[in-house]
Amino acid sequence: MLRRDPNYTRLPGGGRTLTGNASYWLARDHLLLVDVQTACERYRRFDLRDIRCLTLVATRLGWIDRGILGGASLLFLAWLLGALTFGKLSFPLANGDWIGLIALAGAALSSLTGLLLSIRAGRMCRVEIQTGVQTIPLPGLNRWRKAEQFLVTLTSAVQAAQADLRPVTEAVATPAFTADPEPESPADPEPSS
Amino acid sequence: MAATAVSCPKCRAPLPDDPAALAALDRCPACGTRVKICLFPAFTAGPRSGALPEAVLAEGEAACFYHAGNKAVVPCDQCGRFLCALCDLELAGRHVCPVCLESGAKRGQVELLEHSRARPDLVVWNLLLLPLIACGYAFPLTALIALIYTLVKWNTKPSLVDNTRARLAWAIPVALLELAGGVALWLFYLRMVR
Ligand SMILES: [Zn+2]
Ligand SMILES: [Zn+2]
Ligand SMILES: [Zn+2]
Repeated sequence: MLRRDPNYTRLPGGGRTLTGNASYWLARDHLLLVDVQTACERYRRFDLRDIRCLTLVATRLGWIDRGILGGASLLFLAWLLGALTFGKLSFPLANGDWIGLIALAGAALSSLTGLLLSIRAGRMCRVEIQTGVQTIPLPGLNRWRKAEQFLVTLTSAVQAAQADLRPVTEAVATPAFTADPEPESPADPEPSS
Repeated sequence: MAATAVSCPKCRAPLPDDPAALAALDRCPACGTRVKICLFPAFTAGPRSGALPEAVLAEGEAACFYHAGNKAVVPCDQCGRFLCALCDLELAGRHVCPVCLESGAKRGQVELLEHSRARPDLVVWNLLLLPLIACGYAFPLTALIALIYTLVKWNTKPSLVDNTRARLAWAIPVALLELAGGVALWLFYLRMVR
């Protein structure tokens, strides 16, 4: 059996993108982005010594899928409740239509599960990487908590690779990146999400 | 100072130039969105510059194969030609000349220069699953192609990083099942027509 390439360690984070699936791998001297689309994988490499800045920004996108899933859950639950209580009135289900009832319960359960999973994954975000020549978004890093774990691991590798360079400013002396507690506390008024 | 400014990924407003202020930022001053910025030493170090070649000064000093006037610093690990600092290309700890690098990249031998690759395991699974949506009568043909393709590609490294053969191995019983099912479907269909 073939094994995972020992030269690459998988970084936390990465996941579904609009067109496929993205994952991040750390090599001795570079970060590798593997973007799988249908039956082809594309690679993008970032030399650790060239990485200048990583930016993480919160986005509102989480509320869209929560809204859709929440609405669907409410609709299916209300329908199911109606069907169970009123029987005949539950158009388009006929009285005693057990298969329809089970399908309805399944739909309600799966949309509710989706909603809970979405809430559990936390707020959404976008990550950008800046090198000496370009600033580009990193696909698949859509969840703040996962993206922070990604940044923690990547930051230590980049700091090690750039150890011979002068710290950003002597005053702030390379602020080591540490993950915050989940920023979705109700005490924190969010103007943006 | 930074050569490229950092801007807010959301509203594109330029963020402070001062690295200390930038590193301490937790919200975009323009749109108020929560941001987190990590700066690395390369941010203030400016662009990286390559080594400059030195001229051959003394008689008998080795010169670059490609530049007779430049002092050789290292031999090419592939072809052994002497290279100056300009021609020396470092790739995953090896020193190669531009000619060897180009020919290696053309033959797909340099993994570090590869920018895309077809995944045989995903090709096979697409072949196995697509007829399910389209039409079951294509099964015997697509399953047979998938089976042959699996065996042909068995020894190639499926991915640059994730080298498991599990997906290819699982494709074999599924392909056999589809082949048998497809043939049975065709026999049934032909009997009905007759
Ligand atoms: Zn902004
Ligand atoms: Zn050479
Ligand atoms: Zn030369």
